[in-house]
Amino acid sequence: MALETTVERAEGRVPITIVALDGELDASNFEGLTAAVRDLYEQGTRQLLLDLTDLRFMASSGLVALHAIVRIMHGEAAPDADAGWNALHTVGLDAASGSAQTEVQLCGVQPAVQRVLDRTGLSRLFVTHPDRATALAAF
Amino acid sequence: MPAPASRLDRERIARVLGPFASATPGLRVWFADAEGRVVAGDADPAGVADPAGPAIERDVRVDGVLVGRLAVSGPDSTTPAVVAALDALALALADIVGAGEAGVGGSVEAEGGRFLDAASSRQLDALEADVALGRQQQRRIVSIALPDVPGYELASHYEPAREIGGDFYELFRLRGHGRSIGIVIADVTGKGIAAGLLMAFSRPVIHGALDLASGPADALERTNRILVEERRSTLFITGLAATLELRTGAVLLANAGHECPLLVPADGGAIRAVGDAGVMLGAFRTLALDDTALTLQPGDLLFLYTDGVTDARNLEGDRFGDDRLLATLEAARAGSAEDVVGAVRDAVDDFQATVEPADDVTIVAVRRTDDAR
Repeated sequence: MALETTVERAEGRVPITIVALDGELDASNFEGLTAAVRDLYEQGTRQLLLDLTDLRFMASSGLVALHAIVRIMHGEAAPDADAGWNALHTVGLDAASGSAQTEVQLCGVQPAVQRVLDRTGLSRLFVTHPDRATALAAF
Repeated sequence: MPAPASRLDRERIARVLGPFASATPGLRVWFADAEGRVVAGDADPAGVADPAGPAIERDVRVDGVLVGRLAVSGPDSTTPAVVAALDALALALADIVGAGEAGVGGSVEAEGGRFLDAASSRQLDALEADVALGRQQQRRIVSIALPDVPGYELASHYEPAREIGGDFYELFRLRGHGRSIGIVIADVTGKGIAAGLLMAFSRPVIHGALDLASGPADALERTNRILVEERRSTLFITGLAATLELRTGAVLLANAGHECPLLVPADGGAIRAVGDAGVMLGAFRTLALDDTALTLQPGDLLFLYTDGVTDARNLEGDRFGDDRLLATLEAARAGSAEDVVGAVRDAVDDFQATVEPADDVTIVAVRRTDDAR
């Protein structure tokens, strides 16, 4: 299914790049989204807000993309399928380690997507805001 | 020297891209110059090729100098066949641009076309054959015979997506527990060969862990430790492990981020999800899962599945979803385990109709029959 991606910039206390996803994030497009965020990082983005208000569906492939996005925004090199990455916990990116990352935050998460995040435990990686305005104020 | 954008022969490049794009429905392919301006291919008038960006890009170089980038996006844009074709196309474009620079003209287009035809069809054939073989191998690895267990009906269905996926399941007699079986169902996130390899690696790991661990939660914890510390991966696994004591029907299950199994009670009561999902495998150092206990009464059926069932899509873009799954189970609940699996398989197939499945579909049903002692 189609996934439309809109990129906007905002100035909070820090420059923030907003990526709004509209449609469905699944096996057909998760790699494209990862590549798009990698480009944004290379162009200087350091604070990323993913606006998921119009994301109706996320397959498990989407989890791979979200994980990769956190890694990329944390300044890690491109994923290497052979070398792999350290577990998120070992590098202290998750809330359970007491130092959740804040480079990537979410807003407008719909119930269907929230269920997938909660079920798999990936929700503990993200600070989540109800809407874009609240999110921008919090960065 | 590389051609400046204005001197790239748009028409000629477009002619080479055309057949490639039309070969795969929904695929968008475009060529942008070194500055990122779309020169040819599937771009709208504003020059935006695909707002989601490319799924894959290939640099096109002439004498080592970047002249542009070839990109594809859309469904199926990362299949091995498309990747191979894209590689061939990038080489062909480099030839065309390079030859155009050298002023060879005329025959270049035909030359490039021939090169593309030969290279891509050869590589496509080889890769399609590889993928078909891999899928066959995968089916062989995943679909092993179910154990014969008196007093129980075991049934399963496994259909890998065209592209190698990462589902797996297993039902087996537990080592040292002649009277218990282990049940595993799991899904490696992502797709393609990486997912297939992680599947092939993980299945015996979980099997072995369940043989030796104190229970399913411990088995998944051990598996996670191996995935996190010894076999680092960029992919994750959602997985569910369970043990079933045959004499009593006692089930212990632990769930690492997987769809909760459904219990279809023999007494006609409501179908309900069992247990809670915890953290998926491979992402965090510890899972901290708990075992959930339940007892299968005679006639009760435990239904396990992967998201290929509920995420299946129809022509209108709707998902099969939980409601259709529950309705199908409700209608089929009086049948045997085989009947229930068949009913869900058929319902998903009918729903998808001609839509190419994006994900593996795995279904497992375990029913304790009346004559269990």
